[in-house]
Amino acid sequence: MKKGNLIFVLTLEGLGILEILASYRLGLQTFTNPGPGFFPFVSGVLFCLLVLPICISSLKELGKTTAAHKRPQGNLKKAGLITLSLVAYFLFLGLLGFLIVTFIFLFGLFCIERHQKWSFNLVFAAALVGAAYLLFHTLLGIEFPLGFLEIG
Amino acid sequence: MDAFLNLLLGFKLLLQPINVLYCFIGVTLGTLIGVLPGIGPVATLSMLIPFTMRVDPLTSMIMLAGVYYGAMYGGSTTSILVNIPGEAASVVTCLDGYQMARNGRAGPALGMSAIGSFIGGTFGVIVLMILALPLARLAIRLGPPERFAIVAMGFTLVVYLGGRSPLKGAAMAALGLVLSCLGTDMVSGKIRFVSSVPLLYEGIDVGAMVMGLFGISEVLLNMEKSSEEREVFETSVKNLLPSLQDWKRSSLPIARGSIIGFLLGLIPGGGAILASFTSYAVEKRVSKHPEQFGKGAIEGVAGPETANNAAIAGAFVPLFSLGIPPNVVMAVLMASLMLHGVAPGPQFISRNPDFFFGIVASMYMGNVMLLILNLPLIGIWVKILKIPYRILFPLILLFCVIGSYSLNNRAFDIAVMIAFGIMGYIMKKLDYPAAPLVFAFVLGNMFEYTFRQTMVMGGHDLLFFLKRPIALTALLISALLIASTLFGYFWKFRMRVADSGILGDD
Repeated sequence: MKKGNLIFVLTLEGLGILEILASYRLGLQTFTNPGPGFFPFVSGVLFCLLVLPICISSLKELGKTTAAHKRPQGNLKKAGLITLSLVAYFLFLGLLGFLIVTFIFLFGLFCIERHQKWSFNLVFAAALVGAAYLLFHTLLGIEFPLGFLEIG
Repeated sequence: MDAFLNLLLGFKLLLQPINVLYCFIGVTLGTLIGVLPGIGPVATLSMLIPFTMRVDPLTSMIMLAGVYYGAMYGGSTTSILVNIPGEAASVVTCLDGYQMARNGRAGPALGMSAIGSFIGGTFGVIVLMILALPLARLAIRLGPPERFAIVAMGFTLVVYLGGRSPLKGAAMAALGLVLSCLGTDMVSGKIRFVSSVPLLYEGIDVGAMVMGLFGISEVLLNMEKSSEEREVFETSVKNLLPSLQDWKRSSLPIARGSIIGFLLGLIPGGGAILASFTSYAVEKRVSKHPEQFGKGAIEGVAGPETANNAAIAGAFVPLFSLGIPPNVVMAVLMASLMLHGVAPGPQFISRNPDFFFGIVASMYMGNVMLLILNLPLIGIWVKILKIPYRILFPLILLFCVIGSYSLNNRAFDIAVMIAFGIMGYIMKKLDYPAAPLVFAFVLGNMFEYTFRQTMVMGGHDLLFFLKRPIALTALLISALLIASTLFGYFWKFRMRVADSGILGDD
């Protein structure tokens, strides 16, 4: 976790530095007559300055013994699978359309927990997609992507 | 008299069937998400924003506000019955509420919690109604310098009061400011940082950001836990009405909780969580039997539950009279109003009394609905407690993806939501608060433009702030808070150096 914290704050620090450089190019002008880059520049500097002490303390913590403070790791596999499912949903939504992608997405999510039979998950996912389509498309008028099969 | 007439106008608007229906949906959904652990009011509000875009702003706000105060009612149910707070403001209710349930007094604990919530909520709405118009008159006099200074003070208070580590909170607020700069600069028209991504020319969509930070991240964290970690509810609920003795012990805590809650709700960074904790601390301090606290004292349920509901009405005061959300839920509500093209600010109440009093009226009605939902119908919520998370989480994710897609009818917002979901998950794991980030993101543009307006108004002279007493006072308060935080760090550092010096001498 300490290593993770260090990576996180170093990433933030890097983003802050990039933002400072980019805002400098936009044009700062003066404190009392700020240009478009001024406010991003100031907030970027402030951000980097605030992250810096966290960065330093993370580096110091990294050197200390870790065994006593080790936190219990949760089920990272499930969290990872859910994230991947979400990314796949985003990637295939336009291609396959709302109905097909949402059905596969829900079926996959129900299968992650492995508590019910796959046939139950299949029927439940189909019922939920139908209900969601009825509620959000038919009643609320949201236009969903049809995909290359033009279903929906 | 003005307030009374305006309230009648508010009720006239509220009594349109669609508004009553949305009020009912809002409070019912609020109670539901309050009862269900693992999904809080912020995540729910952000999921609902896209779906409320199809109704008019008042109807949408009636429903969203109902979700917020409904969650406060529902949150106590899980705290009392299974020792898991349904939402953060109910954490303190676990201490005595759960002990009461274990002692076979779940009924009176739930009953007193609902009654206290009703009294606190109604008291808050009455004071909100009385204070709103005078405050609105005062707020009209506030110009860009005052608004800039008040937003700056809000930032400081949110960071100062918001979490265990003010440094992490401040860093996240600064990140929120950085993110608010993305997109088109409203003064010069220049595209900042995202010129190669046209979809971001209007900036990051706050709805997608909040859904990711609070909704997706919460699901990811909950899925890490094993199903055995979630306690199964087995307590029986009977005799909901408290006894005379319970009433005697609870009446003063309810009165104190109402006042504490409303006052703390007004303060940026305060809100329902701070109100419930403060009320508990006060009750323990003034009690003749402080040793009973933590073992099932009804005062420990009545006070905090009253306070967290009174705080909600208090939080509406700065939102509507100054356009400054005092906490993250209000920031989401403000974002929803802005998406509807309604901008809360100093002239909001005087220009839109019907809108404001429509919401006030809905809060009266909502509180009555919630009392009915949480007393005679408590059995329904107890049954809902048994829905397994494996059924719930796909539904939450489905709402999130459809919600973010429907913000602008584009899949890009789903990607934004996923990115913030991963970020929120990492932040929660590493103990970085998300609330200052959202708060700063929502207010970032106002912060920048009021500063630029002030500079134009004051002839590009920073000393112009010294000529505006309200702005000066707010800036001084911010400076004092920052100085006290820095002094705290300096003092800790000195003590550490002193300690290591002593060790060195040995």
